[in-house]
Amino acid sequence: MAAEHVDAVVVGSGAAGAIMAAKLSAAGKKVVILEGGTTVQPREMVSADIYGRRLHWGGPAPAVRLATPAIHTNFSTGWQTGGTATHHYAAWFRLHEEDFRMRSTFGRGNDWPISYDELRPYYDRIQTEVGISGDATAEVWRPAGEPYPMPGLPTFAQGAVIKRGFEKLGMRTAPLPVAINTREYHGRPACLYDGWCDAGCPIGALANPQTVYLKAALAQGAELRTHATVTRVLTTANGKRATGVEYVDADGTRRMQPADVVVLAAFAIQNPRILLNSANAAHPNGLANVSGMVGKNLLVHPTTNVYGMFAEETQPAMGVAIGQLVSQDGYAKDPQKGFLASYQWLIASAWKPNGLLGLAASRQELYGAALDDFMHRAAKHIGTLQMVGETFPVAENRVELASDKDAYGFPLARVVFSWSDNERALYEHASGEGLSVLRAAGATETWRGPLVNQHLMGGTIMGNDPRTSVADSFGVTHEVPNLVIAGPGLYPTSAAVNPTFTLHALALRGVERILRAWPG
Amino acid sequence: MQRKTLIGLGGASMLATSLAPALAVFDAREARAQGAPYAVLTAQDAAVLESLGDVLVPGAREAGLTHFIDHELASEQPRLFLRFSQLPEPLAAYYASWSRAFTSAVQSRTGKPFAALDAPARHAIVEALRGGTLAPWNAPAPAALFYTALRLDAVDVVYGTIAAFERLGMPYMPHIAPKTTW
Repeated sequence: MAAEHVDAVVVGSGAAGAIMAAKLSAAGKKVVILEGGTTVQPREMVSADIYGRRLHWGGPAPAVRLATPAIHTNFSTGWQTGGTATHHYAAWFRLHEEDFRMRSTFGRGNDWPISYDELRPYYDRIQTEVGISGDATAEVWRPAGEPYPMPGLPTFAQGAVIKRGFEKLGMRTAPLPVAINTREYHGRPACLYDGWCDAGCPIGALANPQTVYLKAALAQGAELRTHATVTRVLTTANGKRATGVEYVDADGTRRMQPADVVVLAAFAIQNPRILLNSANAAHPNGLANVSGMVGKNLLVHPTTNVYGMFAEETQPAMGVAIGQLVSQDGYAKDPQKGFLASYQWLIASAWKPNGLLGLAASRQELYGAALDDFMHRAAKHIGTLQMVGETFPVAENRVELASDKDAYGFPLARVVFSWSDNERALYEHASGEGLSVLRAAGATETWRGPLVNQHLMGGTIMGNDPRTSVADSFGVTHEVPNLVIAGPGLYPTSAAVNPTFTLHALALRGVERILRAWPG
Repeated sequence: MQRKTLIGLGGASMLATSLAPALAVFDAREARAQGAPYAVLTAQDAAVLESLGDVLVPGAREAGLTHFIDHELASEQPRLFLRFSQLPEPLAAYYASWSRAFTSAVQSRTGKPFAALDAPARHAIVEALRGGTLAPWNAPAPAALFYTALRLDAVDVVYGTIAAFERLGMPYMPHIAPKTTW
């Protein structure tokens, strides 16, 4: 069943899909957005961890299988209006200049096909459109760029206590740059610093897609269809052009959406899955996969938390979920450290008692009366640092098709991922440093969490060489010129900063290129 | 927003529900206090989960731990911690298999049900469960994951409520306050 032909069909309503749809519709293009998940409106963003969990992937029909060992992906993904970004914590960093040239500098890993200087104007424009709060001067590690349009986050007691530890060790901190309003910006109110970011931000202080680009796209006439699960990208018989997508609607009816341009913005796992499931006579190994690179180089950010208990009260509930301060003194990639990876510290996240990132989860070994005693002390005296690190890119970390299938007969995605000695060495180094910071800050008790993952990137990496990448620096696939990838799946390396700002800058650069060279 | 009443959670519960006072909005503590029937869990499995859960997080029994688990397992999208483990089968099967594996292992090790053990014996069992050494363990998912999942479920009902925040001295500060106790 074919629908009306449109200029562009965008697969996914998350951060990448939303900005693509916004810019395309602003240029007068007729756009349909297909979202596999459900509708979530800001008024439904109830302030409770248990409610917030439904924003993370985990619907009745699984789409991902995990190999063992593997990372976990449900917490880092979403399936509703706004996608994963609906529950993102809005740490918006620029990549550093060195992140773009890992291979040319160290002879290992990947290079990006663009430099920081090429991306900088797009960072600056996104920053103005969305609004970012920060202190560019205090961020001594920040690459060149326009100063932030809003002042940085306030520092509450937890941040002030931990900052003391950094200072004693001669390390620098700065307000954590966030796409969260510290004052009214573009009609959106200032944050209340209540720490409920993970459950969504119903007041719009945090720049999630419903608040900014998806809202703009819909206002400009883009059509959003939820419960629309895209199964395949369709092509001409010779495979040289995409003709649209096939999807299954809420009633289980298989439909086609023809379009001049297909934008895959279904994130780092589902994009490769759709491409691999789109195999046809012209593309027997999957669409845009003549190189065999679709699914390869899946990336995450290796992460750990370190914790301290302090004598003074730290107001752990105050602030925003991502934290109050940042330190990137360890960012420089230097093999002399014993690993080739950048890392940063996000400092003083806002706490809740329960949930995957809650007080109780930080001390899994405690139960009974000991747990209750801990909960009462931690509720007033805990402090924490989170390390965001860099994964060394390897093709073996990948998304592939699983042997079992979804309800529509298409293979699920299978995630294969293992930590290397590089990430383990990073974890040992950084967690040791973090514990030292907390002790220097006066913590009377310290502990660390395990090495875990957050954020998903790679899988459809961009590059100049079609033999080693899936798309060019604009996201246009090497094989099908009207098939575009958007989102962090394009990243050839993970860097060690949260990915959402960069995916916006890349998408803006890509969509403007597409509009200039619109197929006709 | 999921505000399911107990009515409609499952056919098996319909008759019993009609005999118990209906809840306008699901509330695990109230459901337990009223003796509301389970939609997914068996009474036997629920008793085991409740007994262990209350040791892991004191107060979990009265807070309605097993009714909370049951309510979530009966929903299309269980919001239990276990959803983040990405196990391949319906989550209800894990709770049932864990309950039975735990019962069997405790019986094998002590000759008694868990609820009949004294505090030191319970502690030894919990430590073995947490460390993954409780044997024999005849369940498809590890014993240590059972410990983690049940403990965090119990944390949800005991420490995840507005009232619990107040007890801990943490300001709740909701944008939109939940209608249920959590």
